[in-house]
Amino acid sequence: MRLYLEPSVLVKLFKKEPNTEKMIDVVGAIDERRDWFGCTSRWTLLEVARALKKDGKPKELIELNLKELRRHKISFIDPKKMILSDAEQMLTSYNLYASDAVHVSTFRLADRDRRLDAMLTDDRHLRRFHGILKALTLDQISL
Amino acid sequence: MHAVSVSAKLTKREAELLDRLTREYGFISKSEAIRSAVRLYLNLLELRARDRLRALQLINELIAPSARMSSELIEEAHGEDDEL
Repeated sequence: MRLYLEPSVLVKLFKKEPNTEKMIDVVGAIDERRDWFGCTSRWTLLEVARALKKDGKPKELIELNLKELRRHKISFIDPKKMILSDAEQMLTSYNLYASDAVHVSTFRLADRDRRLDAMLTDDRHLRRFHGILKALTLDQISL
Repeated sequence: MHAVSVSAKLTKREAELLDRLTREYGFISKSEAIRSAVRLYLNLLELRARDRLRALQLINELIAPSARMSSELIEEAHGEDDEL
């Protein structure tokens, strides 16, 4: 399975909530199995950091969590000018947050080069991506 | 055994905490407490990837427990970005 990892599923790695164990298995599969691939925007690290800060995690723990994220075989794609220009156009066409538009544009670029199966996201964000790209939740993934 | 000495600067609060915990846990010295902490931390980072993630998740929950969902936190952060 070849996935784009949206920030909300990555934040799950550092919390105890439904599907957190499954998310650990997804990252494990990306690390260990050749038929699995995971990527996301480098911008995601900022979103994860902000979410953890909002969740009350101390600085040292946030830094450790981000270092942990970087230790896995997840590819972090730089938000290049081309991606930001595409995101700008997305915002005029769809009702998206600016960050969502960056993720959609990064997904499209990665899909062109690396043939992704879907964006892995949570229920709340799934609705927003409907009709724009193929999105899956952790419940829809089998390992 | 070849040993390497490492020095570290601590804030006043950290130094006080180190003093207290050294006494409470019965370490023979502050150096011994620091050595144990470093070994524990390095052991954590050396765990297999999945186990490390599970341990880190537990540490996150113990240090800063929260009932807020990941999706809710990201949604709020997105809203902030758009307000800027």
